[in-house]
Amino acid sequence: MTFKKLKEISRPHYYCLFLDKLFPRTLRNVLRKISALAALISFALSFDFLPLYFSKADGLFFLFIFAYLSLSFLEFFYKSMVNEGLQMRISENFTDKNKNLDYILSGILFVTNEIDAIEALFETKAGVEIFIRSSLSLENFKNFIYSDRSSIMTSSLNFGGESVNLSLYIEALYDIDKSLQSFLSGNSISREEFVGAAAWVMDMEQEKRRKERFWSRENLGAIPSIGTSWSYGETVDLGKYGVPFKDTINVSLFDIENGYRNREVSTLESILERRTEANAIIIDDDEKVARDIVGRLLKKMELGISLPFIEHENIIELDWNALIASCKNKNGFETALLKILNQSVSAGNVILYIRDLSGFLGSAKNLGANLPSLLFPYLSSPNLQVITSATNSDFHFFIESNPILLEKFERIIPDGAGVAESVAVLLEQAPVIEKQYGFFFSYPSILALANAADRYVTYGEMPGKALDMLIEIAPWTVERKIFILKENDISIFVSEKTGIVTGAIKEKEAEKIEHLEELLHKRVVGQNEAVNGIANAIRRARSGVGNPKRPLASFLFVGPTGVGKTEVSKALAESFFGDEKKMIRFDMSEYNGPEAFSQLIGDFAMNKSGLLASKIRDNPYGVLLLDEFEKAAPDILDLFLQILDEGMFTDALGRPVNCRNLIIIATSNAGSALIWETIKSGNNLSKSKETIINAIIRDKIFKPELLNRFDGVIFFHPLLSKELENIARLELTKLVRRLREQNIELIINDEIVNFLVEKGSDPQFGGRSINRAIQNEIEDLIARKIVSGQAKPGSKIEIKKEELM
Amino acid sequence: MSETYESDSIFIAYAKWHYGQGLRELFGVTGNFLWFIVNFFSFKLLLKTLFAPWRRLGEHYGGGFDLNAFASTLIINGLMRAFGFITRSLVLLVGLVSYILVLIFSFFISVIWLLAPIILLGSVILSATFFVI
Repeated sequence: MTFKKLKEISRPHYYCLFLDKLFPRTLRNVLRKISALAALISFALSFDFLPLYFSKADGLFFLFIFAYLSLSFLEFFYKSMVNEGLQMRISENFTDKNKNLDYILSGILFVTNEIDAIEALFETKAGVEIFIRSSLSLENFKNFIYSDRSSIMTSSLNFGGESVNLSLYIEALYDIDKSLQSFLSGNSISREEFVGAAAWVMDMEQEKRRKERFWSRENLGAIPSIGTSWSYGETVDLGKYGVPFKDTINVSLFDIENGYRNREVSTLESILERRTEANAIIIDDDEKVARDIVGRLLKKMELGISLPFIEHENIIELDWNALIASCKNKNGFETALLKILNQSVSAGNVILYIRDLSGFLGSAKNLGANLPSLLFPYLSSPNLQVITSATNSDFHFFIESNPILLEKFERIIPDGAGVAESVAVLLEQAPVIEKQYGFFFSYPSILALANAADRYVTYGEMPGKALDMLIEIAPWTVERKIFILKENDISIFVSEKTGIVTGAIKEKEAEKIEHLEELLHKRVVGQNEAVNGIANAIRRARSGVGNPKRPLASFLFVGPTGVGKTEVSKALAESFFGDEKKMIRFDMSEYNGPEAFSQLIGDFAMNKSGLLASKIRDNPYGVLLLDEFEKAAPDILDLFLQILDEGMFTDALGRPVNCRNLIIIATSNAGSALIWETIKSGNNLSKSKETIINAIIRDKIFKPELLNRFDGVIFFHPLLSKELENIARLELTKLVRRLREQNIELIINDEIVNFLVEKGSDPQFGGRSINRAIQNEIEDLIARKIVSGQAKPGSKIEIKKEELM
Repeated sequence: MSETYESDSIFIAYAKWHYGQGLRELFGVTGNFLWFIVNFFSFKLLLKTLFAPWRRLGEHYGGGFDLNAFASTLIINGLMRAFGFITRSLVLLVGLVSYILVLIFSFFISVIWLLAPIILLGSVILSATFFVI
């Protein structure tokens, strides 16, 4: 379709736009109301027997009637034309279902200059809103519009398909206009964000206009009918312990058109439509998902588009906590519950929602009641439907093992919502938050929020955790007096909330990554090959070249003890994540028994969470250090095959654990003897790397597939005397710092350093022997001097070689 | 369904709309309001359950020969049904009156709509006449 054709078919909207320009709507409405009032007054004044009789009142009456009728007809015409092409959820026979026009787009089309298609965006409210929602400032946008840019002729625009809406139009403009593309990319706005912002503006506007049409079936049908419950029974006891589901959730926010959770809602609907055993259990780790599905069904029922059998049903949530709390014993509980169930059955229109069935089972069991057998007869009743929820592990543990419940409940397993689905939900809810708190979300901020929630919030499920974050960010935004929330604000919020330096702190991170070798060398002496290897791998991973569905980076450090393997990991945690404590450390030699697996990932039978799982959940962003990796049990090594490959694993309780924000480092002494031999024989370690790896595989220490899954196998060579000297100096500096706190100055001279290198060059313990020498020789000597009064605060200590002998 | 306006001026477009799409929409909206009244007063449901007991209240007769119990059940259930019938009938009546009112109202609107040019012209002429006289 060409621009000309599009403008032609949008003609009905033109009349409205023309009218608004010539004779603004507010003025029209005010005048219409004034003429109605004036007509009434002049009618009253036209009777000559009344005291306020006015001779010209008759004439005025007809004049005002003329004005009122003319303005009313004009308004009807206006409303009819404005809504031309608007698609309603419940179609009406007088509207054209096949006509799809977008009023907000027409507004842009009719002010578009033929030689510059973009300029109109600046001249219309909708156009400006798109740019603002794309997180651009008005000033910036204005500068672009009036800059020296190549303009796009409308004749060059061509749209595929029969109908064009605002988002398609904006997409077409973006694709054809190179200067717009470079302007947006210069402001870090992608095509997806720009077009998404347009689609969002369009959806909100259409929703507003749908609501304005109060005479539509969609709006009239939402008014609840009277008398629908009169032929159903009363539920007195359920009233005490039951809450109407519509009071627990804001149904009006749901947009059933966006397709989100359609499958689950239809499945639930068809289960409830059955004549008997119409009970469903929604299995998801987040109860909000179950509530969301039931809420969407309720929305359908309210709109009158649900299946007829459940149209007049009443969804009531059983507050079983209150029920349990108010019952003192088993008998009391059983009587109360049976009363509720009997009343629900005799009422005939009750759909009972029981949250967390396994929790209810457990609480009832504590009172000594057998809930499944109490529920059993009612679950087959044609007059009662039950919807319940359970987490995955609870379902397997408590419900699956109970044949009565398993048989009576049909399972619904909601699809895991990804980032894209969560964005749809966030867009649904954002306008409400905006209204409450008085600020605006930009579209990129919504995308960033969904991504951040998915990536950095380790507890909960999507979209629940994204929605929680949306609610949490509102007061934060108001506090900081932010008017339009941008992508960058989300990063700051996430950093403050979780302590994670998120991807958007780009400059800082880029600088760190660029100078990673220097940062690492501040703590690590020598090991150039290892440090370079790590820095390169980290750069690869963080430049976006790496796979986002894997850990940030993973390394196997191979080398003898005391050569800096752990120190490198600590240095990495400190330089990359800003804190040495951002490191989870496991000594894998402790996990070589048969119980090791359940220790690490949890125990289903004991309902116990595992150490590895819970530590990663608490510290999702940092370094995971696995010391003496080769000593771990074989099934644990197999588990790491998956972790290294997918960046995810599922714990024993069925909950996924995200390892994609971790740098995983495994250390091993395997092959140290060979490394020693290589160094002794004067060969280059990097050249013998393959031989050593082959030897490790041959000795069955690690499987080749495991070694392949690491981003890099890094070899640490034994320390040379030059490196030992540097270590000695580094460690002595630390001692100097400690002594300075006591106001004692220690002077480091070559004599001490040489002595330490000589004493500490134990090939078996590497750098650690230097530490030991400092402790045993230097620290002892200083301590003696302090005790004997030779070294007083304010004095200088210089240790001579003779003193050390 | 809808008119094509191409490059009509607003006056011609209005005239076309008034006796075409506008009229259709007027009837359509009337239909919507009538549909709303039927739904709001639950016509179908109330007629179907016209004689059902009020909120399922009543007694259950246990069977056997117990004249007392039988009579009491009969009276109570009869009363509940009668109460249900009266309430529902009242609502249906209010609904029916509203339905008729909407019909009458829309009839008048339709007449005004159809005669709009005459009414508008008439009111101008009448107004002028009053001012002249």
